[in-house]
Amino acid sequence: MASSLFTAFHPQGSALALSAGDGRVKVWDVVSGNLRNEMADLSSDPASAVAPGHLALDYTCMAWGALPSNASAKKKKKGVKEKGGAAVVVVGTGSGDIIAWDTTLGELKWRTSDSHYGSVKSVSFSKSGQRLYSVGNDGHVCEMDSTSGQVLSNFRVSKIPLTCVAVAEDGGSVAVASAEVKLFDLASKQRLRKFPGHPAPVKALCFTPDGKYLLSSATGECHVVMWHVEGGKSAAPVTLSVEHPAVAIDVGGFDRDGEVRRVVAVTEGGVAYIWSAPTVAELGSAKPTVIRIEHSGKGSKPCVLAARFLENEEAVLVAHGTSVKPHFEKVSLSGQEGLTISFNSSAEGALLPAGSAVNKTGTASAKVTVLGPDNAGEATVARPQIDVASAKKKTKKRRAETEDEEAQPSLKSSEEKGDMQTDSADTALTIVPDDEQTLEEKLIALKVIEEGDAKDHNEDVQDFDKSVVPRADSLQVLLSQALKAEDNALLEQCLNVGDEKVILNTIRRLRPFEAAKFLTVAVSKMEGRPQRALGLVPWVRAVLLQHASFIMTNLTMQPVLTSLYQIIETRLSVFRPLLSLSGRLDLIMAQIQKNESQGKEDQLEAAVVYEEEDDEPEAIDVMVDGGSQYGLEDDDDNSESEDEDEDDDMGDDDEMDEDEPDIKLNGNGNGMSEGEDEED
Amino acid sequence: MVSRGGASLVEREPVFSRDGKRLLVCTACTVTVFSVQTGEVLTVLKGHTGFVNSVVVVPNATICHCWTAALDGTVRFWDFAAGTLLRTVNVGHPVQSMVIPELCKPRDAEKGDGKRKALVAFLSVGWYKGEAKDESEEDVKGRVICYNLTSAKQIPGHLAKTRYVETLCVSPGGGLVGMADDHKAWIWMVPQGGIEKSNVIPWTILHHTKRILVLAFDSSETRVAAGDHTGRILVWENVGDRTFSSIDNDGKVRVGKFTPPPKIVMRGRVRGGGVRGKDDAASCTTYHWHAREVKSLTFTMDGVYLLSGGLEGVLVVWQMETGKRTYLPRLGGALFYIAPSLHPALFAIACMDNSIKLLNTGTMDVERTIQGIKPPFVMPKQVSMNPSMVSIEPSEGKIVVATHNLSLQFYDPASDQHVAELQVTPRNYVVGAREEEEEGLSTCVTHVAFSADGLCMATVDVRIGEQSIGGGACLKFWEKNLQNRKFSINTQIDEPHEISALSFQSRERMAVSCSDTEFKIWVPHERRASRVSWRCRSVGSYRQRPILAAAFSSDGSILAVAASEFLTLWNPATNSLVKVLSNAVVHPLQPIHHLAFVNQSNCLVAASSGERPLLTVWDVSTLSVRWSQAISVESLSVDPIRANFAVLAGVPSDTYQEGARNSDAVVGLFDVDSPAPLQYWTVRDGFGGTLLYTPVPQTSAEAPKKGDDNTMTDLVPSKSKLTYLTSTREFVVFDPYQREDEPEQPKVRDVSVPEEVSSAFTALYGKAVQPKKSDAPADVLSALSKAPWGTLLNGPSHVLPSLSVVCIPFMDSLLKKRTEQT
Repeated sequence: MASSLFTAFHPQGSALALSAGDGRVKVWDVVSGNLRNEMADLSSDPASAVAPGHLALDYTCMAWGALPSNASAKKKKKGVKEKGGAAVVVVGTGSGDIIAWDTTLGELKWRTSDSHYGSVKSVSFSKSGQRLYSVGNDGHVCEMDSTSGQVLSNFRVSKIPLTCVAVAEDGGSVAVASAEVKLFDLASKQRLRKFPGHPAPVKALCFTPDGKYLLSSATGECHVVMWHVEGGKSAAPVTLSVEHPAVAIDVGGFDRDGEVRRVVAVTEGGVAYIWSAPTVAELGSAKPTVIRIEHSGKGSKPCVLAARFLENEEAVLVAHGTSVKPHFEKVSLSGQEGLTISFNSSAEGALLPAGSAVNKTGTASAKVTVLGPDNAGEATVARPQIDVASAKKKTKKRRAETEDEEAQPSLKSSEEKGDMQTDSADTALTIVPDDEQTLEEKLIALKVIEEGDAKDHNEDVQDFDKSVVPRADSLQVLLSQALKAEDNALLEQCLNVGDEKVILNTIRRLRPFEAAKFLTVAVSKMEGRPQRALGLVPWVRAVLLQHASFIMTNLTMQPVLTSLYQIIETRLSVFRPLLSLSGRLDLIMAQIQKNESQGKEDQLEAAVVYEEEDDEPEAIDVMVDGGSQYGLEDDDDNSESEDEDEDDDMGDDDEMDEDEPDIKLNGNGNGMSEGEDEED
Repeated sequence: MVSRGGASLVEREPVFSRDGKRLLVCTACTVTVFSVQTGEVLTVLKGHTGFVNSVVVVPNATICHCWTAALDGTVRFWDFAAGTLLRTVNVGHPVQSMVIPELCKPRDAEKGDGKRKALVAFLSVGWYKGEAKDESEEDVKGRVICYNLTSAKQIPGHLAKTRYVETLCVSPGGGLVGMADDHKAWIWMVPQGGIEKSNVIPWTILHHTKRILVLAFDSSETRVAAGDHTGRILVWENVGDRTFSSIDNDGKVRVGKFTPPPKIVMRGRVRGGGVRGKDDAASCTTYHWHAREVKSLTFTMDGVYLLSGGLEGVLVVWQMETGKRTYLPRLGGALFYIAPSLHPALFAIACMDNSIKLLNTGTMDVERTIQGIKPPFVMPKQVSMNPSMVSIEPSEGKIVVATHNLSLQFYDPASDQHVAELQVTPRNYVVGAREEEEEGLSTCVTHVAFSADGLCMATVDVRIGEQSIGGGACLKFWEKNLQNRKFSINTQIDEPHEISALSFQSRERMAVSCSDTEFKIWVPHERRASRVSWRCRSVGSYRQRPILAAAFSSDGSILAVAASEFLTLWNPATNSLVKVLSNAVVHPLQPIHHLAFVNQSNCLVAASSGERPLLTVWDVSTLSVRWSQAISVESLSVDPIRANFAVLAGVPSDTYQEGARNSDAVVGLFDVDSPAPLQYWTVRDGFGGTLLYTPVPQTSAEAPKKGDDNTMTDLVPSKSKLTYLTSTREFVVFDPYQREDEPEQPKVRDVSVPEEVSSAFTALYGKAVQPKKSDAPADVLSALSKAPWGTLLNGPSHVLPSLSVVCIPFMDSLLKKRTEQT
């Protein structure tokens, strides 16, 4: 910090006055950080213009005090804090003048030239702002009326030049210092006490608001001393050590008991130290919070220029940067004890005009990331969560699911997945890929007879099922496209979907004539390959459920319906003998189980046969059940119906139970149709 | 401590003091004195109870005295250097405008004669039915009267009756008083001697085919300029030559004041013929440049130039002789007033954007701007979503408001001071386009939200396309530069979705935006190394319902989304729906507009609006309703420290009482435990207001690192401030827990004064309970255990503590008895 730089905060802390001692005082607004105004003695009176470097322009000290407002006004509006209020910045010059500026009006308020012989060294306001005290090289203390600049009294207290002055909070005594700090009573002009100890002239002097302590720091001394004002000789002063000599001191929290006492000192090195402790005694041992300015690059070194405690807040206002462009920062103190806070300095802003209004932004800036609406595509769709009871196993699944979706959100990829599997089996006329798997699995299950394993496997399959379930809306588009183009492959893709909800929703979205066409195609497929019946039945059923009215009234559909009816009839005719067969086989099975010594061959045979018979009626049963269940829902789309699923957990569990046999049936269905083939 | 601010500075003409160092500005019910040099507030003249409409400064450079007139029917005399009221004169009629011709003359000339002349003011007052019994036409509302301020007596008779209460103007020398009234311009000549009867004052009328909005006199008092609503400026020469010289019955000899000056032949323009009918003027010249209405007119001191301003926001300087124009564009808004100072080149211009610009016409440069809080703008009709254009920056407690020209203004409520402005989207400067006034702005900022640490800001700006082409919204995330404390744009998302609400999570960086059918969660995402941008992490919806509000819990673990009338709770970490809350059983469903988690408790406050508004407090831990109340909530804010929240509620219409105006509202401070407010204040102008708690500034990142619990308790400051901002952008900042201070506070601005008044609210809900009733359940329980159990069930069921809470003390009490017996 330059030695010739003077700072003074506005009494309310709203602005900072800065002077480099060159005849100009700049006032910076704390809130906006802009230059509020600049006061110069030079141009105001051209008659008394003096050359630069003249003593009259050599400012030696500065203080900012609020003037007492008019007495009559005060009476009326007691308790109202005036926002503005007149405030004067007072500077002392090397020629012994004291100049006061009204900062709000920006004009010279008064000038006193007969206060000191020689240089004025320090000025200080009383708490009320009514009185102004100055000391100078002549060893006098000058008391002035701060509103008019009239000298009220001038008395000599020292033979040697004084360097510093401070007024006690009650206004009854004043502390002056050269190397030795002395306390004078203002009424009697008598010396009350002296505090010897400083070897060099005192640079900063400050009373605590409760009047119990006096803080001082001297030139070249690396500590701040807290003197007990009334403590007598026994009370040893508390010293707070700093790295460089302190040039400004402020105190906070001394107003009331129980508050944390705080002291801030700004040093020559441009570093602020803040000590906080509940009592004064502990202040000495407290580790200070240090505020530094990190500096990189060339130019004048930025530093902490001034610091001040804020009223009613546990924060300190720090002015930092350079005298050309200070920056202001409010630093909260709570929880920061003993830490080092560093600010980065920024070089910009010195030449900006005051109040440079709008901060404009350019879109072309490379720093900006621009996202379009398609960005949402990457996003995960938030899903309803399943209740905690069943959550354990399902969360895992769900995560897999979401990851899956994130990875391949579109329908197509999932379809491709299905395709890849079908490829391995049959491309032209697809055999439902599930069938093989289930059958295999069944066999494994039967062989190994480990139900747990089978179940696990089942679940996996189920997971896989769910993960590739396409949404109804997209499927409907595909389906109608396939029907329109009579694209068999695409149609088969669509028909691969086994999820009943999806089927139902898809069909519901189909237009009636499309549905009719679909029914025709489906029935012809069923006629062509009876073994496909199982896959097609949900579709056909859905069509009949949704579009029955249209199909029934449409005469061209009559032959299709007739053939469908015939198919069902033929199937049902086989049903009864199969049932009886099943009964017998049941008997056999029971016997086999009883007789465990029997070989596996039997089991295998029995299993196959048994399942064939079991399947069809149950399958229909389940489907009807499912139908009624879903038919009741007002299924708008996937997410919603899922919500409802999850809301009633019991229903969900039921479904799960049903699902398992359902899948089994799938396998059986295949077996059954094979059986039929055999019969045929 | 209550601090107020944010009044409009530009409602009335600003007036310079005689020394040219101060500027007196009418701010609602007060007059604020600014320093011309620094733009700082010097004093505030408080005392009027109605809007102050006119300020007249006593022409004496050494004393700072002024007269003010207000709608409260009083004229007051002030010392504005000290801010003291010296005298009050009760006129009895609401004063719309006051001019005192006497005070326009330089006072020095009068020093010689000892006797002071009576000070006569011309007042334009409202003259309402009942007072004017003889009046046959009901629609005549305004009167122009003369009033003797020295004796505080009205001079009998009136000068004019007008349909509306019009504004008067006076010539610089105080010889003429004028008034623009519809298609006419009234001109009165002020007699040299005292005025005994007002009907002897000579007058003349100038006519025009268009509505005249503003009048101005030049210093020679022969020329009158008038601006009309089509943008034309008419200048009459030698006004009143015939009338004023012929009627001269007051006995005084006027020395050639109104002898016609030598005719000036104007070059290149039509003249002479412009005078209509029998208007007493030598000629009338029309100047036309303004495309829209002329709002302000002033002659320079020498009468060579005429300054005019209109809705275009361009100051035009006309050279009267040649008609040459000089422009000063981009003044920030329509120019409402141009006030001359004694300095010939210095003018104060009051702009629509609530700023007063001090203009030097010599350099054509704005020397200083006194900027108030910017006024609200007309929202486009197409934007139907509930916008939140006001927010508080958490780190510094600044009010952030969306303004014209796609900007955000940062305003410091503590010092009532403009801090900074940030333009959200670069845009060319457009002011006062005709379409904008009719249909609202075509582009505007609709939402602004801050993260809890104040380092991140999100804004939404909307542009309305022409015929639904080219419209759209843009969501932007801003990061604060720690060094210069400015926000710089980080991520811009075009067309995110139609955003109806925007909210940040308090702990982590996460934001949620809501639209018609879905909500999106945005998170920062590292694209490349060292480049962090925001991306949409997930999208959710609930039954395709419109989502109007969303809130994160204070620990960030729950996201509450109001899907129309359903409250859905989501886990933001896993994007899963946790629970759906619905109050449907109790109340018919109404869409929820406001949603907030209450700190220090497990409660969620939801406010629905519509036919049957409802304020509901949910306990999230038990998924039950704590209490609910039928209040129409305009704004909701949560105390950052305590388990309290404040609502701005309209007074229910069924309890409408006399004295309570329709726009009256109540600010209520509630505890989560009881439906009775802890504290409440009635406020005016409640519709469209906003309630904001100033967030507690979080200590910077070092604080949590320390991680000891003591500091955490230290963090809680004793005070939290509540800011109430009206729709006209006036604000009050007060401490809701400080009671004793309230009544002492004087009324500063009539609008939006929170007073502790019991009105309809008391009638409805009874006296407010004391705030000491702490939210700690332990106290409640101990009270319960002492109370006889029989009275426990005497309240409504939702007030009762839950069974599980009551059970243990109940059992304890039983057991105790048993032991006592044994």
